[in-house]
Amino acid sequence: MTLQVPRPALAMAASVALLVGGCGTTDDSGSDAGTNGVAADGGLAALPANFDLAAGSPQAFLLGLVGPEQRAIAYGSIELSFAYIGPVDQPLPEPRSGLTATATFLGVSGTQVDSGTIGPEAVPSSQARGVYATEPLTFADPGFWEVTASVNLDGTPATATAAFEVLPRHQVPAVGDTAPSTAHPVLGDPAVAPAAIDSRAHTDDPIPDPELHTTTIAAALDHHRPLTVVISTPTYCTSRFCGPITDTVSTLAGRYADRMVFVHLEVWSDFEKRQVNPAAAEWILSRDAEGNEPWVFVINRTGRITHRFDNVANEAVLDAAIQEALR
Amino acid sequence: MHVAAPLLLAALALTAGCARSDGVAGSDTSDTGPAGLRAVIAALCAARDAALGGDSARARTIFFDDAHDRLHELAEAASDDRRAVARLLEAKQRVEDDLTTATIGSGDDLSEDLADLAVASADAAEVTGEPRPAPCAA
Repeated sequence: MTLQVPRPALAMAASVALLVGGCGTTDDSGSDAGTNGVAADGGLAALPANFDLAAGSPQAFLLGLVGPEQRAIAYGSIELSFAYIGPVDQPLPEPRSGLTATATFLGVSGTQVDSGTIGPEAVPSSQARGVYATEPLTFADPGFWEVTASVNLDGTPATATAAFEVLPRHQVPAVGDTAPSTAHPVLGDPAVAPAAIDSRAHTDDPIPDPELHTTTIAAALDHHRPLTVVISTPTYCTSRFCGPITDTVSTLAGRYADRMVFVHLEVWSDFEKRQVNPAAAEWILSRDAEGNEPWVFVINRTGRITHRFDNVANEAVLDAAIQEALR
Repeated sequence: MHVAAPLLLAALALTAGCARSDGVAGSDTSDTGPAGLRAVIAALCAARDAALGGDSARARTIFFDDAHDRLHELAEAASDDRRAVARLLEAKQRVEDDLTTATIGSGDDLSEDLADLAVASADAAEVTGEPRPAPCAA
């Protein structure tokens, strides 16, 4: 199967954010508002980071913040206020505000964040990378929304605003849905190149997390086994918030292997030819979805999705979700 | 997600003033313009030199602070040439693997992978139509 995978929603959201900020980068390479120009209000840029928000469906809202000189805004918590701009083709005369939330820093996979660190603070990327995440929020209406983040950096208040879309319904399987019963190649399948099972595998490098490729999603569901599915491309990830999420799931597999099945679906069967693995496509390219990654889904023994994480998750939040699903 | 419709974009087009973080206008200062490309190669070469000197921690700091995000932007800018982007992202992944492995391999491994990434970055820069940045000094 050859598919043209659209650019990540993050890049698109960033482009919209640039427009909200009044800055003129309209080309679709505008994936980094921090460097491409938004510098109003203390040099702060906001990057909505969700892939698949839908009206009426509670979900954590994710927002990355970038400060001057590409410094990451990290630690602590921030206040968010939301306004409904209107349906895609019919903006309201005035944005309708009302929804507010507190968001707490969530480090990308593979990073250690001391929850006691005072913040928010502008730090180098080598120190911390991540987003601010709310508790699950419900956006009442589909269409475009605006988020304004208010932070205090070294005693100086700053705000950043960005727009994002809320869909009428999810495009990717969501919490409460029955998990797709996906068949896919596993380790040792002679018909499949190792790099199509994990993009890090090459002639000299075997598949690095073999425990994530021993059974199929379909088999786990058939046997009423709870499972965690990570859909990612460790080598070809292009999100600003890429982290070693596959390794993190592998770590959790070591912790919970006796109680849960763990599966990694590599996104690409051939990156250069733009060929997406059919198994991954079943999850992230059905229902007009755009093929963003990474995703992690936690599924209970009845085959229902109990948790899903788009773009950014780390060991702590995944561990908590797995424990809930196993209860 | 769907990108904003023209009508919405018009509604969103606010008039707040904006400036580059470096305060300089012009394409040459964009991260995928000549200056930005020279900067990313320079960062990779500096990280390589740190690794050659056995200072993997400094190599890591330079890589994530001065090169990582720009490499993502370069990959985006070169996205029409899948082969060049593939080589760039594969080289980047090897460096990240070196840097995040609990026991970082020899400084030689890291320095070689950083040098390879600098070459892959220069290759990707060329396909964006920009002049090929100079390689790391031997």
